[in-house]
Amino acid sequence: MVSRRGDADRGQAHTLEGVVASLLLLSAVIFALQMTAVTPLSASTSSQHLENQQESTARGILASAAESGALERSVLFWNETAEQFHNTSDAGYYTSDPPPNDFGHMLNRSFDSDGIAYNVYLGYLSDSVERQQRRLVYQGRPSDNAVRATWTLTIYENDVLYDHEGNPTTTRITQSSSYFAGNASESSVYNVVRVEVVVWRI
Amino acid sequence: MQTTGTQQESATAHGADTGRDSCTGDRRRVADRQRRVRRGVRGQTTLDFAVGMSLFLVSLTFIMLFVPGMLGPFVGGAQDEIPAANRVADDLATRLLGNASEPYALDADCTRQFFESAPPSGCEFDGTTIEERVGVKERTNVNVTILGNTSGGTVDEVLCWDDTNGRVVERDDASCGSSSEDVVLSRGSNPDESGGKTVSAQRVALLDGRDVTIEVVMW
Repeated sequence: MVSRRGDADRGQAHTLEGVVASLLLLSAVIFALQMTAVTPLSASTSSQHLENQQESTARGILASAAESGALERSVLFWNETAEQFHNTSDAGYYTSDPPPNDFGHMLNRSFDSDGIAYNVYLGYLSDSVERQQRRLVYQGRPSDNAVRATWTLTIYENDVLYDHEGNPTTTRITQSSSYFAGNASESSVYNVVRVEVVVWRI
Repeated sequence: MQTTGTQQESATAHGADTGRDSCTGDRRRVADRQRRVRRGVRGQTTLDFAVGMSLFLVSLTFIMLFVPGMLGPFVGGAQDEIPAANRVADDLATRLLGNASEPYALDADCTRQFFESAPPSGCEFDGTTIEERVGVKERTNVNVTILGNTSGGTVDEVLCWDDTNGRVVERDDASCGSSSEDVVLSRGSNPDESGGKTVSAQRVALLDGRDVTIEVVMW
C-alpha cells in the first residue's frame, strides 16, 4: 500500500517532468525565434528578392512601353461617348482582364501567368492644380508586401485619342470634352500623367 | 515526495527478500502478492510514464523538425549570388545590351553579338566569354537567356535572332536556324547541371519593338 502510493506519486512526477521538459524546449524555441530577425514565418530575404524582381519587372515594362509608345497609346485609349477607357465595365477601369492594347499585353505577359496581381493608377494635374488619381487597372487592395514603379508621361495638346482597336482617331485631346484630365497648362503641354504600377503576389 | 517514494519501495523490496529466506510455506503467497502488487504498480507507472514521455518525445520531435527549417534562411547555399544576379541583370537591361542613355531599350545588333563568342564591335561590353562580358569571377556559373512570346502562344519561349529577316522569333520557329548567322539568345552554363541551388533575376526590356524578359541565372 505504501509502495503503491509512492509509485503513484512517481508516476505523476514523470508526467509533470515530461510536461515541464516539453515546455522548456518549446519556450527555448520561442525565445530563439524572438531573437532572430528573419525566420521562415516572417517576410524573409527570399521574398524580398521576389519583390525586387517584381519592382524591376514593372519598371522595365513601363520603360519598354514608354519607349515603344504603348504607354501613351494606353493612356489615350479613351472612349469619348462612354466617357471612360475603351471596353471597361461601368466602374471605369479594367479589373480582371488587362487593357486590350499593347501596354495591357505587356502587363499580361509578365504578371498574369505567375499568380501576381497589379493595379495601375494614373496621377494627373486637375484644373485646380492639385494632383488627382484615376484607376486604369484595379485588381484589388494591394497587400503589405506590394511594390511600386512609376513613370512620368507628358501629354501634348496635339496628341489624339485612340479608338478601341488601338488606331489613332482624328479627335485631338483638346477637342475632347470627356477626357479625365483637363488642360493644365497654357503652353503646348496638355497634362503630365504619372503612371504608377503596384504589384503584389497573391 | 519522489525521494520518499523511492526509499519506501527499496525498503519493501528488502523486507520481501528477508521474508523469503525465513519461511518456505509463505514464500509462494508472499511472492504472489508481491508480483500482483508489483504488476499493478508497474502498470500505473507505465501509463503515467508513457503519457509524460510521449509528451516529451512529441515536443522533442517537433523541435528537431522545426529548428533546421528555422536556420534554413541563414545557411542557404546561393545567397551570395543574389546581389550579383541583380547587378548583372540591371547592367544588361540598362547598359550592356543597349545604351545607358536609353535604359531598357535593347539594341538588336549588340544583343545578337552578346550571345556570340566573336569579339564585339560598337557595343558596351568586351571580352569573349560571358563571364568577362557581364563581369563576374570565372568560377561563378552564369546563364543569360532572353525569353519572349512572338508566336502569340500562352508561354514564353527562348528567343532567336533570325538574321535572314532581321527580326526576333521563338527558338522553335522554322526560320530559326535556317541561316548560319541565326543566334539563339541564350548563353552560359546549363542551369540543369547546377545541383539545384540557383538564383535568378528577371528584367523586362524592349527588343525589336517587343517586350522581352532577360533572365539571369547564377550559382
